Amino acid sequence: MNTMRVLVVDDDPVTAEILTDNLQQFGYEVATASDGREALEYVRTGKYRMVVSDWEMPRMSGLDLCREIRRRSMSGYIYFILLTSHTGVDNTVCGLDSGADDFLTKPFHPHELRMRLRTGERILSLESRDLMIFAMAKLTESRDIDTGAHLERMREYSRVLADELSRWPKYQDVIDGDYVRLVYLTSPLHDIGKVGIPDSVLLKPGRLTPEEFDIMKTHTTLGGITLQTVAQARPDARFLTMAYEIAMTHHERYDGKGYPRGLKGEEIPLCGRVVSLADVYDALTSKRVYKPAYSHDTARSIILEGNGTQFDPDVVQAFLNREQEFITIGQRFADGPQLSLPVDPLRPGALVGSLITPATDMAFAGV
Amino acid sequence: MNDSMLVQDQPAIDLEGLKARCLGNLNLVERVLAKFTAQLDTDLAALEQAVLEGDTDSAAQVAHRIKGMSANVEAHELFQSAMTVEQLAKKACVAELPEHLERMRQHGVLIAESIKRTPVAL
Repeated sequence: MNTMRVLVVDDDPVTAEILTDNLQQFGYEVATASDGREALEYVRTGKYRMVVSDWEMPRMSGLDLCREIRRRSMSGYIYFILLTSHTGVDNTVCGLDSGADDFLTKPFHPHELRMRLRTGERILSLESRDLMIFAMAKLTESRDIDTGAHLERMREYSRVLADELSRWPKYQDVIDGDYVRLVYLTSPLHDIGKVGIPDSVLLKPGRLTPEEFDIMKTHTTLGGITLQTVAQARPDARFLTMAYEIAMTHHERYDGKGYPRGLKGEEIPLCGRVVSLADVYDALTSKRVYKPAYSHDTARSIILEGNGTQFDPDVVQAFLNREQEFITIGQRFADGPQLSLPVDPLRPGALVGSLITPATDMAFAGV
Repeated sequence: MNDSMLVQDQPAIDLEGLKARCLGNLNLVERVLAKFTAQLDTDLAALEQAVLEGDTDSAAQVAHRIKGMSANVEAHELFQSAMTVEQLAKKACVAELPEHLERMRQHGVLIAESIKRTPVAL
């Protein structure tokens, strides 16, 4: 039994009646609204993953409803089908531009409606795939008891950085909306190779010996090679390629002194350069058993210290352009009461050497 | 086009088409037709009022709704008339609206008679 809930929005009660009955016969739970504003109230409940909406309605049109849904950060993606008697390329462009996923022309055919909804379900199932990816990353991280909401924060930081760069002319042909979304989706997999690191090293509370550090560094290649193998089997799956690049390169440094391969500058994939900064920022601003959480200003100073050496200057600039969002994200996904340690602004590097000696925060290695 | 053509060209409602849209559910067909006739009365009155007041925006909106629902109940002649009225209203061709509105009314009467004459179960 398909129990997905569908919201039907139409000021025409006849069409709404037929649609509702059809959808119920197809196994969906259905609610109806007679205009966009009423529909928005239903959508706010978070119960509806699919909307079938008329285009022209009083008070709030289907286009405006769609735009409003896309503007808001809903808890999950909402698949939006516009039901319309408008035809022509201009109308199609206008509808898609509002964020609609699909069109259905009046008079609709029930079986066509059913197929369109199945397409929507497939799209929504990809979101479930995304959740599974995140669950896998969390599972890996669960061995490390000290990282709290690290993955939640760093994927948000990564998204913000990629989004900022996408607005620069230099990156307009490199980063599009899909790229930003993929960075958000795959960045939590950056440390998935830690699943192959022994507890004696991964969970060691103190400083690692050089041998242990060498073992720890292999988490990049362990994760990278695993994801690369999967990516080679599915070359069409862009997210796997990006996941591989992030896992393999998030400890590379812009000056070529990182690991595992010592890549330099733009030899490092852009996603790896982005995640590198996001990972370090979160490690700096998070409390650990061996260190307090540093303030944003302290983290900022340390990142600026690494501008052009550890970090790509463009990514650093993107961070500076959007640093208020970093602060907001940090607060939203806070792990609990955090200590904030001020730093001597004249000697920010001293903190790195003296206080950050993590066995698990490999992000600092080489700073 | 004269009035007699309204009656003779094709059935006021393609009942088989409507049954298909309702996936063969005759109870739904009956419910839909009842809602349709009630809504059509309301909308035609609203359309007449809008035309009288020269409110072409409202006229276009109501005609659009009639167009959509008549398409879905397979009332093809009414659909065509509603589409014409919607287009005229959008172009603010006020002088031509009453004639086409009258045609829509006649279609409405034919549809109502057709529904009375033909029980859905048959």
